[in-house]
Amino acid sequence: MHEPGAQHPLFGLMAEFDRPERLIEAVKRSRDAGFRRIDAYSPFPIEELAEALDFRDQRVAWLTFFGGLFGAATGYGMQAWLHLDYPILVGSRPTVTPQAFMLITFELTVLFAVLFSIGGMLVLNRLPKLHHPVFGCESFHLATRDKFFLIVFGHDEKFDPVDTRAFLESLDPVKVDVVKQTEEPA
Amino acid sequence: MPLPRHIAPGRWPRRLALAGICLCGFGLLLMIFSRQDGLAGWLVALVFWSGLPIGSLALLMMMRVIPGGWNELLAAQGEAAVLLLPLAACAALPILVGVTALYTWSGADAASAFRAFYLTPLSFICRTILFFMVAGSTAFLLLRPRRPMFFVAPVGLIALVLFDSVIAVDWVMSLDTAFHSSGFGLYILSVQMTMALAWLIIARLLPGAEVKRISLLGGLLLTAMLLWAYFSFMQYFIIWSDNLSPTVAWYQRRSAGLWGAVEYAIGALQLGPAFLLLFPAMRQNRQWLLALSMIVLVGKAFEVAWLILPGASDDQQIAIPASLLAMMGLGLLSMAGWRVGFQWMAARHRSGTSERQVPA
Repeated sequence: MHEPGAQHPLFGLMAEFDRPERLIEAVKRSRDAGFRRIDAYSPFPIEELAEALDFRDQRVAWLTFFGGLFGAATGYGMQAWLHLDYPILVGSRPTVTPQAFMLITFELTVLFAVLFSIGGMLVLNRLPKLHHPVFGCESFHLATRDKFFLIVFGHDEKFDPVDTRAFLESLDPVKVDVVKQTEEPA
Repeated sequence: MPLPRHIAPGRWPRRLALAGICLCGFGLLLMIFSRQDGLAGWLVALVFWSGLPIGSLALLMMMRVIPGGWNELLAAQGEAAVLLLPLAACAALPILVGVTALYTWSGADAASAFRAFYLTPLSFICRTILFFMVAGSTAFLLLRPRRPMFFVAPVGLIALVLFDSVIAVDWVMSLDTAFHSSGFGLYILSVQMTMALAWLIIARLLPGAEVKRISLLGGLLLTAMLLWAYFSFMQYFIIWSDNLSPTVAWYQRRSAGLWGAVEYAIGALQLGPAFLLLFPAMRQNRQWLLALSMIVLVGKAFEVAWLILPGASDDQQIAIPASLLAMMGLGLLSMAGWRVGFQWMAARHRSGTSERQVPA
């Protein structure tokens, strides 16, 4: 769901809805109408929404998985290396003991899985960001309260300032706003 | 209470039940050769198959406390499984009758005053009966139609954890009086709940009707596996760390010879599916989820045998066939009973519940 760069004259058109069902319906109809570069905003997660948007990005999940593998390898490897480099005999146990290493291995698995997950999410979303064009839309702050938004980005192949606006109006929204670019065109 | 005609058990549950009774009978007949070994085999089947109603009861109460998608997906299957409590209570009878033959503490001088009081056949029998009374009345209050009481599920959950721990210590841990582990009750409860969850998922997915949100079931199974891994590993890790002879010997006996191979099989049959369930494609695929649930169920059967047989029987040549027969017998009886219970509950929900009584 890449957003339009500064070279596009308009960032997009934003439709506001008052119920999650309407948003899902609108997303489905927009996709049926051929719009591909669209996104939706809602105050809480809506399960059907990812499906309706055809959102298949698994990168964060994979990052979490590899973070976990990396953490496990780090945790186990660090302990094994330490014990081989400076062996201390405790209760005549072997130098490398998987049983005893398991706790730290598990802790580091969780730690790195979470760090990769959150870090990856932030980087992929290009966060933190001080400003975003959608904030120019007057009622957008309600996306954290009780309103649901659908945006058709300005670089969609079917995007046309007039026709797309008419299409969005036909979806029975509360209103449709123009989202302008905030940066100077390059 | 006679069942109304339209939900009377069909042919196959009746045949399954008959076959189950025969197999149970053959399993118990092996006691002719050695009472202790035959009973040890029976105990394996009892601990495994009583896990289905007990684990389902715990899951069902959690569904009431934490409602959500799993409630819609599994509650009907879970209610039918809880109805198997009377079967589990009947299956406990041979153990209660044969306490003195199976448990070594019944003949020996007690090591402490508390043990002299706690580990007697009479108090053992009383605790088992008390457990089934508590579990049964909880199930009754939980499944009673129309008058749901909000406190049954939370209070029942606490009671079940406590009483199930008592039963786990009595039935399994006291087989070896030198072994003790404070987490044993929770470990057994995690075995029972994982086993029950695997069964419920199979019961939900097998009939072939379309199931929405399958990935939820996969996520639940993964959670149960991780919880089980935590409890079983913590107990092992603590005992491994202090490295004192009576408790370490318990694990030593279970890693010698054939049981060592079983130990690896248990780990592989649980951790393998848990690893595969990390991937969304596995959690969403019906066939894979069914297969993984069945693998987990087999792993749990191995685990219960591994927990009981190495300590409880001297002659495995009798105990292993006895446990196999009893396992299959009680399994067929549970399947048939579950099927009848499921149809009965479905009919009760349809008819808007004119019947008040639930066999608890």
